[in-house]
Amino acid sequence: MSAHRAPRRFRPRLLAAAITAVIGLALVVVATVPANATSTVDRSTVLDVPAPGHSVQWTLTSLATSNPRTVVLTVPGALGAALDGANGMRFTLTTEQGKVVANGLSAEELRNTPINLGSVPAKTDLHVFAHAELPVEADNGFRTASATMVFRFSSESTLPGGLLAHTGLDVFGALALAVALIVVALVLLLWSRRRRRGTVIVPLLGAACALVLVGISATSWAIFTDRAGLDVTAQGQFGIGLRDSSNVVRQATDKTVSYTFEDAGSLVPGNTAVITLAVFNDSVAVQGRIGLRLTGAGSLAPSLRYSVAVDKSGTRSTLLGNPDSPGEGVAIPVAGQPIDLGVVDPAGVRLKDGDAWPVSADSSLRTLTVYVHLPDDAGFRASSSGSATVTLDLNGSTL
Amino acid sequence: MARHLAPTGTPRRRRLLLGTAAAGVLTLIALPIGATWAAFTDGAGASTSQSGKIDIAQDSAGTSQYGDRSKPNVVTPTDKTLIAYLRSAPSGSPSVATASFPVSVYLLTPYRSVALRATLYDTGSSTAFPWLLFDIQADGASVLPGGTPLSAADILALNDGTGAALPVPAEGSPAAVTVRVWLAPGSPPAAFRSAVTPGIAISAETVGGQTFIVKEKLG
Repeated sequence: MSAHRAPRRFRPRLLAAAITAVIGLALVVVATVPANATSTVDRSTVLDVPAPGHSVQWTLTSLATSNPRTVVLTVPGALGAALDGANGMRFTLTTEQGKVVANGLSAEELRNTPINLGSVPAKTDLHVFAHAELPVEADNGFRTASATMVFRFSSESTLPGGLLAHTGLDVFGALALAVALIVVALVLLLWSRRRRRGTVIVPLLGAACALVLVGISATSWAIFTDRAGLDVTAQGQFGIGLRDSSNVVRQATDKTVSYTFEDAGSLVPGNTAVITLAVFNDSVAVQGRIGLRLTGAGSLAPSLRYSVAVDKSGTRSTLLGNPDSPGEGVAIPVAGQPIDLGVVDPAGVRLKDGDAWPVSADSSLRTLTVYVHLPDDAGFRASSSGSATVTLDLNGSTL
Repeated sequence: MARHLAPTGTPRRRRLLLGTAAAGVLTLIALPIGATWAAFTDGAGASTSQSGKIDIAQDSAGTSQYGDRSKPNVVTPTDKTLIAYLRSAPSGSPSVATASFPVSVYLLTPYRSVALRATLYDTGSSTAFPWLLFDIQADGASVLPGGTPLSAADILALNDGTGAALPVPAEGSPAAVTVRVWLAPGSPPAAFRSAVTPGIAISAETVGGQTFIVKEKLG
């Protein structure tokens, strides 16, 4: 008898209920918890706000998935002064096939325009070439403007049955397991109900619930999308700054950095004052042309003779007069003498007032040496004093 | 009603007028665009005021200027010793006691590359003055060649006609100048009977030819 009682300990209904519960919970989890997109990652791209009339390009990439998919590009976030107004940045997006999917749109227009990029085969990266331009009408207010944009690829599987888009979760295995367990549960229930058909309703309801959950899960899978956020930060990037003799950056926090020198009280006839000023292109990536306007004022100004030399990465060249013999310098007009320092490379990093000078930025530096000579004219013997104010106005502009 | 509200001109004329008006509006819109920026610009400025000045005085405060040689600072010697007569041409500084008077000279300006020169002159019109020999001592040492007294004319001829060179005093300290006076050998009797009020004129002139580095002023 005991050998016949052993199979009765087998509780098919209990087992079926347990299997149903496990399936249900698993499906609920699968249906309600979005998985992380591991095949694509959020990335940040830092761009430089281009100069008016100029543009920057970069590439947006939706990495390949194991399934074919449809992809929609949206811009859920766009913020920053560089995007504002009628003259803010304009964006043009082009597919690999050369199809222009956005043509000169503002950030606000991009936000309101989901771009359907169509179907993408399995295991294929999708590239979108982005082109951002600052209209030529943009004024100097955009010089230090910045912006951050989020570009998002949303992809969805195109396989029949609502298979999940690739999210990094192996949903095929989960789905197969769920179906197998449901079949087993139904078989067990039917086998056990041969003897007590009156109670068949409860386990059948359990199985029905499981099927409903499967249905819910199957329909909810359709909302699973693969989202890759691409943060694009555009930073204001043009300015010029000064480096002092202690190799410390002097950069104005508001508009124009102003620099003064001590009065040595030594500008007497026959003497030469030497003024050294190091200016740099305080930009991350934009070349600039730097100019100097040299002016003199005061009782001695008409007599002064000027010479200017510039040092570029250890190479010295003459810009005005004769630095090696300042007495042979030249007089300058009352309105000032413009001097071109040429095109200057960017520092490569954004430097702030008080920063220690990075050696990596040396190519952006131009060290000016201005020689101011007061000739030893006999006419000065009638005077016991005199003075002059020499002003160096530096201006930089994007190309 | 429609007829009453219709414009009086022909449709073609209306289009022409509208077109002209639109062109005017577009022109007004387009003009400011033509004046907009085409590049980012930034500026930096540096300026320096450089001066040169020379100033000497007989006191450290600079109040005793006496820049007009016709209105000098009158120094009354406390030592009442009379002007001594030299019987022979001196060689070196004579040891004969004679009249003298002191003058202090301060260089008030920071620029120290200065040529200080001393000359002697007659504040009046004494017949004795041409017969006087002077020694100029600064800080106890004669500044004349060999320490030998010279006439005012000979002193003026020194250093290419600029006078006897005085040492440049340190900042805040004076050049202590003492002028000693003798009657030259062979002076006429009239010179012995006349009074004389000699004066010393000291000038300062900057010396150039230097190159100096202007220091930045860091805030």
